[in-house]
Amino acid sequence: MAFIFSLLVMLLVGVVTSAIAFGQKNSIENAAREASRYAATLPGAIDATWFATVRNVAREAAQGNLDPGVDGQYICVAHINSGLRQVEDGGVLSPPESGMCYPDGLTESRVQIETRRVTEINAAFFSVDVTLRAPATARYERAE
Amino acid sequence: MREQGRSDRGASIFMLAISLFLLIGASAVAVDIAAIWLDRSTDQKVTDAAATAGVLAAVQTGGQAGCEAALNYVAVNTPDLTSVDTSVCSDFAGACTTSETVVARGVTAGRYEITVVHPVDDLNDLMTSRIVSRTPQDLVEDDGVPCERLGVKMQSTRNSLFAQVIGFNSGTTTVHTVAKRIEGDERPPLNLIVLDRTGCNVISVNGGGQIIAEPVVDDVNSRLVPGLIIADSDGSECSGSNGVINVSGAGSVIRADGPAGCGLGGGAYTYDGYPAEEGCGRIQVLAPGTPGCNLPACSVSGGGNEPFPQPSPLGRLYTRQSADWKYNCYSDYTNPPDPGTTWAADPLTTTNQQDIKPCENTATDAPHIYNLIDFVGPASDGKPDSTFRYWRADLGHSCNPSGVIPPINQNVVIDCTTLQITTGTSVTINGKVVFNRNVTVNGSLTINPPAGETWNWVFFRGGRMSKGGSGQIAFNDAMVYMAKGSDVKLTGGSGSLIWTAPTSGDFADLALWSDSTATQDWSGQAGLDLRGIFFMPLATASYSGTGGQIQTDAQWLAWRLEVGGGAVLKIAPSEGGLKARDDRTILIR
Repeated sequence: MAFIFSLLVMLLVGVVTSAIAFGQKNSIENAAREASRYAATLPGAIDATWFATVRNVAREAAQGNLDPGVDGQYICVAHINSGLRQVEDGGVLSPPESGMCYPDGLTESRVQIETRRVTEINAAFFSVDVTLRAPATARYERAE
Repeated sequence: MREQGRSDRGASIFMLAISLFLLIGASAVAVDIAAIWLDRSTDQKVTDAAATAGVLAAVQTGGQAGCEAALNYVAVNTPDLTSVDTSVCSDFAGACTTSETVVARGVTAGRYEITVVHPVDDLNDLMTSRIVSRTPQDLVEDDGVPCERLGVKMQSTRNSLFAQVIGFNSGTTTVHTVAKRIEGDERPPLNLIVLDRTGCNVISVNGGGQIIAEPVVDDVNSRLVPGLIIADSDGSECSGSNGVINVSGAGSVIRADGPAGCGLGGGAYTYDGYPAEEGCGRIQVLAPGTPGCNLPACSVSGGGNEPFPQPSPLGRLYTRQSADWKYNCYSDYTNPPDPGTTWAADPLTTTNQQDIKPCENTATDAPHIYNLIDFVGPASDGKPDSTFRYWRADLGHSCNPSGVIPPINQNVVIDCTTLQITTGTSVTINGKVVFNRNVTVNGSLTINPPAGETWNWVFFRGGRMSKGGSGQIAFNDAMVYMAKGSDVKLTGGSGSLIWTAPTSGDFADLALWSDSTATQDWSGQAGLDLRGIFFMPLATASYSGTGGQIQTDAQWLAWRLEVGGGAVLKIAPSEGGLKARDDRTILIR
C-alpha cells in the first residue's frame, strides 16, 4: 500500500511540476516570438537603446519567467544585418557585441531572439533541472 | 448478521485499482493534450514569422522567393525541424497578377505538413477561415489584393507519449496565417532610376564620365541618408560582355555616397555639415549577377572603375509608379480615361503603364498631368483659354527677335516654326508658356511665374528645345511638360542652364515630365543648376560634356541613362522628391 501511495505522490507531483514547466516553456516561447516580431519593425539605430527596447518586450511578454532573478534566465537579441547582438545572462547584461544568437543558415536581414530559463521537474523523491529554450527568427522589415 | 460480517477489503482494492487507472489515464491524457496545445501555440507563431518573411520576398522578388522564404522561416523557427525541402517552390515562378490562378503547394517535413499559398485570392479558404471550420469571414478593405498576400498553413501531428494506453494514439492541430504587404513609413529618397525592363547598358558610363549619387540630408532626423541608384532591367537582352550597368573607358565612374562609416574605405568628406563617405550609398540592379559586378547585372571594360559600392540585388521592380502616384493619380492605370485627344503623348497607355498599381490617394490627389494635357490640348486647339495670347509672325511678333525684348507679362502660346533667340537677344516671359514647335536659344530665355504666383508651367506640344553652347536658359519655379515627339538638345559650353522646379502647387518638386521617346541630350554648362525631379520614363537621357557643376537637388528617372565625354552628373534628390518603396507586413488572418 505504501508503495502504491508513493507512486501516486510521485505521479501527482510530477504532473503538477510538468504542467508548470509547460506553462513556462509556453511563456518564454511567446516572449521570443513577440519580441522578434516587434524588433522586425522597430526603427532607429541598432544600439543599446534598441536592444533594451526589444529585451523589455520579451521580458514583459514572459510574465515573470525572464525576470533577472529567475533561475537560468537568458535573453539574447541579435540584429543580423548590423552583425550585433546583446545578451542578458542571469540578470547580467553584456555590452552589444558582434555575433548572432544562434546559427540559422539564412542570409537576409533579420532579427533573432533566444530566451532561456531553467525549471525543475520534481517527482517528490527526486528532481531534475531542465533548461527551457525558445528561439525565434523574423525578417527585419525596416529600410537598411 | 452474517451480511454485516462480510469483509469490504476486495471492494476497496478494486476501487483503488479503478481510481489509479483513471488517475493515471487522466494524467497521461492531460500531459499529451498539453503538449498538443503547446504545439499549436508554437506553430501559430511559426506561421506568422513564415508568412511575413514570405510575403516580403514575394512582392520584392517573386512568388518562388516568397515560397522559399516562408519554408525557410518555418524550418528555423520550428524546434524539431532542421530544414524543409523548397523544391516545390519552383511552381510559384513567374510574376504575380491578380488574374493568376492561386498556387498552393504543400510539403511534408518531419511530423509537419506545410502549405504555402500565393497569391491568396479573396475566396481562398485561408481568407475565409473555412480552413479551421469557422464561420466564413468577410473581406475588409484592408485585406488588400491577392498578389500582396501570402498564406502559410501548418498541420502538425504528435504521437501520444502516455495516452496510447487508453487508445489516444496521436493528436493533430492545424494553424494558418495570411500576411499582407503594406507601405511603410520609412521611404528612402531615390537619386536615379532607370526603367528599361530588359535592356543592356541601361546605365552606361564611358569616356571618363561620372555618375555620382550624393547622400541626402534628412533634416527631421539630423542625419544623412545613403544615395540610391536603381536599375529595373532584368538583363534579359544582355549578351556578350555588356551588363545592365556598363562602365567603360579610363576614368569612368559610377558611385553612390552615403553617411560615413560603411567601412568600404572610400574618401571621406563633409556634406552639408555631415560626415559623408564615397561608396556608402547603394547601387541596386534587378538582373542576376549581384552582389558584385558580374554579368548580366554589371560589366566593366577599357579601364573603367568598378561601381562603388558594388551593385547589390534589387529584389523588386520599382517602375515609374512613384511619379505617377504623385502627379498623375488614377484609381486604374490599366484602363485610364481617354484624354479626349489623339495628338498628345498618350501618356496613360505607354509602356509599362499596366504595371502601375492603383493610386492609393485618389481622394486627396488628382491626375494633374492628365488635367494639364486636357487643358492645353493640341496645337489645333489654339489658345488654352483667353488669358493666353499668340506669339507668331503673322500677328506681328518676330520669330527671330533681336536685342533685349521688354518682359512679356502674360501667358503666351508661341506658334513659330522655330523661335530663334540669337546671340545678344534676351527674352523674358513672366507667365505660362505653350510652345507649339521648336525653340533655339543662343541668347537668353528666362521664364518666370506669372506676377503674383509662386509657380509656373511650360508646355511643349511638340518640337525641340535646343540651346547653343553660349545660350542661357532659365526656367524658374517651373514644371516643363514635353509631349511625345518633343526633345531637348542642350549643348554645353560657356552658357548656363538654370532649371528649378516649383516648390508649391500641383507640380511641387517636378522639373520635367516628358512623354517623349526621343533621346534627351543634356550637357555640362559653365553654369548649371538643376533642381527637382526630371522624369523621362520613355526616353534615353544622354549627358555629356564638361562644365562647372553647381547642380544640386536633382532626381533623375529615365528609360536609360548615358553619361560620357568627361561629364560629371551629380544627383541628389530634393527633400520633397520621390521616395523608394518601403515594404512592411501585417497579419490579416
